[in-house]
Amino acid sequence: MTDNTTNRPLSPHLQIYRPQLTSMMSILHRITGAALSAGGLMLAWWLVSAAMGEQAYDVFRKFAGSPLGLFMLFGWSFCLYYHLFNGIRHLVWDTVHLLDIGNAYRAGYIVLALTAFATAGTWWHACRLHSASVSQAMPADPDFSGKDGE
Amino acid sequence: MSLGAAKHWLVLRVTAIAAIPLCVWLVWSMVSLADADHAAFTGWLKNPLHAVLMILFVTVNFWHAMLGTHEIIEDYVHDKTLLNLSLKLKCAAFGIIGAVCVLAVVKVAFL
Repeated sequence: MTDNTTNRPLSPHLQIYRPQLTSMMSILHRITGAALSAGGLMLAWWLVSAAMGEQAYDVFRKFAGSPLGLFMLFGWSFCLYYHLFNGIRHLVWDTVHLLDIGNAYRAGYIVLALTAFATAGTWWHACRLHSASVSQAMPADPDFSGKDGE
Repeated sequence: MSLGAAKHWLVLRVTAIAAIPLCVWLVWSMVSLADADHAAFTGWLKNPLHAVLMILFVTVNFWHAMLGTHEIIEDYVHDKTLLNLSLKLKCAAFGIIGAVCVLAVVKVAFL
């Protein structure tokens, strides 16, 4: 063996390949996993503010209900559903099933459809609940005017 | 690494499976708690079932995230010293934040 450590051929890396569903979904699994890990900080803020008292909790509540807070919650729900459904796809692969290209793609499309359906369904349901409680709380509680998000 | 690769692989999958029902439960609960003020949320969390599930959610998901981010860091940090340092810092961060979450739930629900 010659001692050749500088001039070895490299295996083709990401930029060589045309993007495929399988590789893109693999990368998205990692990105959503990292995003969800960061989302743990929001979860911590939620629980700690509740333990600290009403004032601290209202600060959290105000942020969570603001446009940025709602956008982050929406992103969190998308990441959670994607990572959950694609994680199940990975767990199935671990049992040596659906590993051929056709089934890997089919399961991929199912994961994307389930993610879209679950995310949309969750927010549709949340909006329905919220508008019901707003119309109930409106007369008595000026905080529910719907304009306190700034 | 210190866990041993086989144990890391297994725990990542066990926590993944355990996380499935816990995630469904938390999203469901968050939707129903969307309008809850402090009294309503702490009242909800004082239910021992909710408190135990929340502690389980935090434990299982932080553990899963700790192992998952381990793999990401291993793939992108190539300098050995920096790798060990970032892995230790990451473990400490997850451990501390997770413990704080559990303590917050315990304080609301049981103290």
